[in-house]
Amino acid sequence: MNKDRWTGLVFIIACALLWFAVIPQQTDGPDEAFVPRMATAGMFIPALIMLVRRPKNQSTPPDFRAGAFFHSTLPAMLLVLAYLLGVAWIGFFFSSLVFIPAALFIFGERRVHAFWITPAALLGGIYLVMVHFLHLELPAALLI
Amino acid sequence: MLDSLMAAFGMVLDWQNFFWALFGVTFGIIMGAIPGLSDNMAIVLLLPFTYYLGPIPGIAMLMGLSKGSNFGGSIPAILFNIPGTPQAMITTFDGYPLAKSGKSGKALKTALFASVTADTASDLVLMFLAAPVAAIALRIGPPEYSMILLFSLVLISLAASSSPCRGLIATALGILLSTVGCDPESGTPRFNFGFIELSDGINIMPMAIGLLAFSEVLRQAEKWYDERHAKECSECVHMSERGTDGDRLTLAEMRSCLPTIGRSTLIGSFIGIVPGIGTTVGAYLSYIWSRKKSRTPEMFGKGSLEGIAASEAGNNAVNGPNLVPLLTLGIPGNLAAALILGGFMIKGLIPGPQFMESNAPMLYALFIVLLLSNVYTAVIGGVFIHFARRLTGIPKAVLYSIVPVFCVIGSYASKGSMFDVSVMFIFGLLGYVLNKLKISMPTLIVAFFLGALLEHKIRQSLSIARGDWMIFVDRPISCAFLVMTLAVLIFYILRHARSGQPAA
Repeated sequence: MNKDRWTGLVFIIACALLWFAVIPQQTDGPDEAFVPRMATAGMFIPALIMLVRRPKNQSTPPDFRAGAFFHSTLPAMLLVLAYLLGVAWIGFFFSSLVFIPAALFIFGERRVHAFWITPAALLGGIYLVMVHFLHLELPAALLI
Repeated sequence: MLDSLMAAFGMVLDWQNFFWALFGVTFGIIMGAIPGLSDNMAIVLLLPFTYYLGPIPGIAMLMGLSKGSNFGGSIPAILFNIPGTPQAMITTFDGYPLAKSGKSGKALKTALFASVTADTASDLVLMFLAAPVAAIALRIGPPEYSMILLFSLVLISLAASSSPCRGLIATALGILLSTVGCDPESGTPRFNFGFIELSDGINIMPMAIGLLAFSEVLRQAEKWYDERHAKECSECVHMSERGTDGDRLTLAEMRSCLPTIGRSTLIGSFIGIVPGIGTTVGAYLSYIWSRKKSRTPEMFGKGSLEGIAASEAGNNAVNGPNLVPLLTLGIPGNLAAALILGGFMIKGLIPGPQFMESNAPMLYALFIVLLLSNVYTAVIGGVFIHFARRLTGIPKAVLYSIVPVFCVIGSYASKGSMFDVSVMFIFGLLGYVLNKLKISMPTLIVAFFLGALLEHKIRQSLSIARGDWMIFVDRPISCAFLVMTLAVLIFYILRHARSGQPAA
């Protein structure tokens, strides 16, 4: 299916969910729902046009490559998710100390010195500017 | 007037004014360059210091802060695709591609040149047009405001994207997201899904960082996989290979940017005079308009100097005129102006129509200090660029490993809330999907920014008119903007009908 049609279909499904499920559940009355419903209609009309019109270029596929997604993007997403959970439950500095070398590995870095110089320089700089000079607190939990 | 001007020069010639304005600009650039720390936060941090300073040095420091952070925000926007301040978001479109091609110095210098030139021109607008412009600004009520916002939204959605359908979807999605929080009239919760943190709506900083920076990390992860499989990726690919003249901004390039800066200054100044619309809209409208007028529109989004100049001039030109309603009517145009108003009040000065008459020498002295701050921004900014552009030598793997760390800091720092960090993550995933569907994220962010204001002003107008929609037609300025909105829509429908494509 053409990318335009994919886009149209995705937004039509999203609009249907919003109109029939989310808006009635998350608003208190017609006045409160007026602008959300107008915005949903504003999304639905162009999405419908994209779905039904004849695409200019039939051969444009959706830009999704399963190999790249499952081998690179998904691990990066999961790593960042684990990092955020670490920041919330352990603390910013300790989690970053673990996250940066892991992310370096995912992005293809193999030089050993980069694995200790990068976290040391970055976290040292952040501590100096944010905590020492600006007295701003960064997330801390079990550790710092 | 001449007497007041002479007295003003006498007041300015004090080392304290020079020193505190310099301090303000330097601190502002540093704060602006740290993602998540905006000009407002910088002003809040230094506001208590104004107790110990005289009126002119105190206010000079606050204004220097505002100017410095406005430029500072463009540094991470160009180098890392992370806007230091929300208004620097538009600078990422061309600044980051130019930095990736090894011309970060050129991009930063263009940003500095456009910022300082537009800021100076907008200060002159403030100095010479404050009184007459304030009289016009006084006639802008909720109905006029609503129609100006509607016009901006229609223009942005149709002109900003190559596909009007995608532009309209992005705008509608932005408006929908802006309704999260509480209903502006009844105060009842809306779309907060049980999260108390969403009662005030979605915080724009984590949203922008997620959509622009975190989604870029995910895209780069995918790209790295493709490159590895194409065997084009070496162990250490540098973000840029510096060319022979990659970092130099030539006189001819500066000259070629001048018409763009002029146009953007006009747009930014107009946006600045109307309280509340803000610098992001000024930057985006300037960018769109410059792309339309450019001889090389195809270069926009790929590292165009005009694109950087338009964005930076558009957002900096808002600065001076933003002070027009503050100084002439006592109405702050945005949060930064409101905080500067606080600085005035700490010193026992009440801005307004009488302030202009009774404190004319002081007002002129402040105008001179504003111009002086621009000189400081040029000098200090130049020094910063010298050091900042070295960061482009960072290997790609290192760069994209540290960007998520800055995303966390940028999202957390504005409110000190881990919830905002989660918002950044969710919007990063949304940004990744929207990118695949070619939906313009800047359009979405600007629509989000304007959506809440539009709803508030429309409902305010309807309250004034007791529910009568004719209020938008009865008032001349409002009616003029309504006609312009319809004209733009008809123009696009006709243009697409003529080119054989379905109109959006």
